[in-house]
Amino acid sequence: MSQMNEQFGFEREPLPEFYEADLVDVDAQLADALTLIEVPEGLEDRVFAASVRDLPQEAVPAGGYSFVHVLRTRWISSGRLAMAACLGLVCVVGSWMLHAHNASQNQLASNSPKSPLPTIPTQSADTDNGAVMLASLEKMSSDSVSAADGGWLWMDYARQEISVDDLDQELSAMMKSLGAGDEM
Amino acid sequence: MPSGSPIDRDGEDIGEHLRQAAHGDEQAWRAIVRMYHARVFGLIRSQCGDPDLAEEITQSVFCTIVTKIGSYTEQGKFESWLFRIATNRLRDEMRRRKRQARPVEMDTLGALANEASKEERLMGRGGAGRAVDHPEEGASDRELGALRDAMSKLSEADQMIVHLRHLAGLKFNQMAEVLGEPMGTVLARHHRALKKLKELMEQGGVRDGEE
Repeated sequence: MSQMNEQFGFEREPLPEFYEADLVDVDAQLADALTLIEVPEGLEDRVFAASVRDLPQEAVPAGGYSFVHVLRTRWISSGRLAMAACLGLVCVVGSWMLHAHNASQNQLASNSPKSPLPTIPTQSADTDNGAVMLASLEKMSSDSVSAADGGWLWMDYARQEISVDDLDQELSAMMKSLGAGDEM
Repeated sequence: MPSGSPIDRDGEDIGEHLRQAAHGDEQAWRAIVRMYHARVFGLIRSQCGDPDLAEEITQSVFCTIVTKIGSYTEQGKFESWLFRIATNRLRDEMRRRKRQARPVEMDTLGALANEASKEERLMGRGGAGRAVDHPEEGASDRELGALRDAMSKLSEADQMIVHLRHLAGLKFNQMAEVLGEPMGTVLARHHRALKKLKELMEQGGVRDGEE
């Protein structure tokens, strides 16, 4: 049979059947002894005063918060984290795209079409023409894009993959396209 | 409403108080404080032996509860939640203060019992205010002394089980939730604690008789 603890305001759960009678008596003695702990006067008021200021001010729906509300508040509360994650993602994607672009440029450059023209039998015969070509290339170096294109042509010439005449024609066409053909 | 929610003295469901308090209803929160402050204080006071510290921890526990009450969903486990916070806070405070939790101050209980007996003789009834409502049903001074000695010899874990039952007013399944142990373990430990108490009280009685 359960007993009411008047001081603490609860009903004590009865002991299970397997408890011997003498142990039930000890349990009852404990119940009497422990009610002697005195609760300070005014404790309830002090506890209430200390805690009531933190009572929620926002009205909670009768059925509790909806899933959408919880999702929204949690999303807002973690907004900074989401923002940081987005920025990080943008940085990673941007870096990857830049890297991919550079790689494709290098790939295109290395696979640039080679001239099918026959190679020059000897380089010594074209020494004077080579000096002229070098001077032209130096002149073209004012424009970075033209200089790069000219560089590729010069490399082809150095590898003896194109003839001097072809190199001259290519450079002339390039200078004309840049508006510098009159100076050649 | 879950069926496991306790009922207060006025027959109101604690779940209703919790819902209203989550709305910001101060009266509902006061009802919750009224229902549980003495139980929390009694448990803490019995474990730490310091009434001032017990009051401080009690206030801290209710401050913690009130900040979380908005997100708490009552499923009949409010008392387990409350007393788990209380026992955790007590343990943390004891660690912080670099001292071990003292066993219940049964000396204090004995002094209160003596005082109550004196006032009873003077006034014709229990005079210790709320402390003793039915002194005629209480243990005698000698039994109380034996009980005091016996309790002080129990382990802190066994004392906690006794206090959770008689001061916090928890059921055995709630004790299991608070302590994080299977209910069978809690029951076995409680049974063993009562048996040990009885043996210790009998040994004390024999010694008193021999003296």
